[in-house]
Amino acid sequence: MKTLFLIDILYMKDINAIYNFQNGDYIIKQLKKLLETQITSLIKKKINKKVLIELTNTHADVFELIIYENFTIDEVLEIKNLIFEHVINYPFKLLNKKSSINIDVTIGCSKSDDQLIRIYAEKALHKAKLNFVHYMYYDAYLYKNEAISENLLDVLNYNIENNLVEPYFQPIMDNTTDKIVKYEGLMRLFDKKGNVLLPHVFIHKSKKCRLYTKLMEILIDKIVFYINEYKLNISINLDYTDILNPNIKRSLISKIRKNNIGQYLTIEILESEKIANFNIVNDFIAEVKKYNVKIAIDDFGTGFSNYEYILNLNVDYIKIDGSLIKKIDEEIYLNLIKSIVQFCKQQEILIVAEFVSDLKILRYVKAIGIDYSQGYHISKPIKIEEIIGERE
Amino acid sequence: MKKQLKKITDITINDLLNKEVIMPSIYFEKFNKNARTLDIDIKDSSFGKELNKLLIEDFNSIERYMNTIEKNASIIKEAVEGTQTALLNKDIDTLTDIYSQISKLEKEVIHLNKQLFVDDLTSSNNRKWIYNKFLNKEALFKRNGVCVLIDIVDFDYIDSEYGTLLANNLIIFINNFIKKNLKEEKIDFKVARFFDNQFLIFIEEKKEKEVSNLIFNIKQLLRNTTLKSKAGLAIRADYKYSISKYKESEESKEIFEQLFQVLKEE
Repeated sequence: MKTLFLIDILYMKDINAIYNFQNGDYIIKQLKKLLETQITSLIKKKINKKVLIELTNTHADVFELIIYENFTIDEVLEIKNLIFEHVINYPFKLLNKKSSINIDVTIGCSKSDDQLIRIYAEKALHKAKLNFVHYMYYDAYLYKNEAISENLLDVLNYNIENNLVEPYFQPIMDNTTDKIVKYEGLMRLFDKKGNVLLPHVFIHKSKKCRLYTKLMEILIDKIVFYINEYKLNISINLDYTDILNPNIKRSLISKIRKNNIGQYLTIEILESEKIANFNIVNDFIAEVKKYNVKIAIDDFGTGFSNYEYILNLNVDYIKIDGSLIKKIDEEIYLNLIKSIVQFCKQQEILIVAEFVSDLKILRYVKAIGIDYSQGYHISKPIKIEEIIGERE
Repeated sequence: MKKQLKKITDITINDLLNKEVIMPSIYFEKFNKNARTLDIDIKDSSFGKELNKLLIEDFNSIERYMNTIEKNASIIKEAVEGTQTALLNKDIDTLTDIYSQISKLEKEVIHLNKQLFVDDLTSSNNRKWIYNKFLNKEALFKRNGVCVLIDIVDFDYIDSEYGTLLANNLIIFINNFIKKNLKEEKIDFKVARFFDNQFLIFIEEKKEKEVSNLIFNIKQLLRNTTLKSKAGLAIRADYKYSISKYKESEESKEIFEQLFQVLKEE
């Protein structure tokens, strides 16, 4: 059994840029010496027995310290603290010998007798950086669970190969007439046992595996088919990055044009990142509006979605985020929602409340003049067959 | 005072908005109850009328309590000395005092009763609750439903490697995660911690397929969740589950054994 620490200098590029590469290399040299001599001997002293310790400079500013010993989690933590404290407090000299600087390091650690230990430690290092913490320990035994989630990749491919991606439709009700006027098409996948997978289970993974575009293509095809067949008003979600993706954009516009379904379609724009270029989005909006497509801003009021969107984008609807609607009975949230409603009314934008999960919320939503409601109180997302069945 | 009454009105309306029909009596009852939770300035004469109304309601409540106490006079006689004299003298103060004592006692009994059937760590039900409350005396199911057994596969490893504190935090997280997700799906459910690392969920009024889909998705979400401790530990556990329908008067033993068997075979 061995324990591996990956020690990575934080913002090395900055050090190189400010103090030049010669000083950068000099600092790496000093770190190597510090780890090799002082820190290694302190670790041995702490363990108080003979152990083999190996040090390698794996990349430019990354060091790999392997200790051939099966430590407990607490011992690992103590050794990490020892390394970290000594490195960050060490005065690293510059070549001019006049001044010294301190550096920061990130440490990724893992323990295993497995050959893959380095991957586990790399993973820990990566996670630590992502989370802006200086240390992360990744358990090799629990790492097997990471592999299990690879099954999800199989499910994604299975759905693409067999054209199984299917929209489920959540009704949107007109608050004045209490009639269903539209449906939001939500993506569903199926595993081999026929279990239905909800988007929050697979969307992130599908984007990570670069399969999201393919899933979207199938979803859009099916929605276009259902609109053609049953003349339903349907809204679909498009991420800001989908709009930036020329393939999705081109294919969607061509489908709208060929099938002449624009008047039935609403595109809900949601953002995984802040919209940096409103011109691109407005060009897209102008293009689809030629075919009478309506535009909605999704999840309004939280995250990146704010008044700037309304001011900069030519939209027909805004959908107030469920996290706000959920708390509509709290005075502060009610006031916030009222202010959104007032603003939208003045801008002649229609409003949809999401997450209307009970009668109380619906009463509030109606009382403050929100135009449409969507949520479990109206209906859960349903299959196309159920909508057609109800109509017949 | 007006502000307070407005506040009481808001709370009352909020309490009642989910009811299809709101009868005036329910409104008054709720309003009264909420009014008593807030401090009222008796010296504020401008709201004397409202105050009087509240007092009348309070008085009516006390009368109702008196009736209840009278009905249980024989028990009270044994329990509280002097009740009889107080009743004869119509000593409302003493009776109110006795009432509050009994209420306190009742609350304590309820509290104790709850504690008996609640899992200390998660505040969910415990195994005792399953056999004493959920099932009937012969350990048969009282109603039809679907039962899910959830197993945290890596619990023992995490407990031995990372310590009980972290393992317990994992259990609490999972318990809350399951409850939150089921609530969001508007599922009526009961959760009980069966063993250290196993939970039983009972869901009535839902089809097995619907429950199966839901649990499948919850499992996927849990599996993809990495828990990070302040000390820089990243933990990702694995989970298993099994599902079974049960019918009214069916033996719980058979269903539970079946659930464990399926889990073992997975």
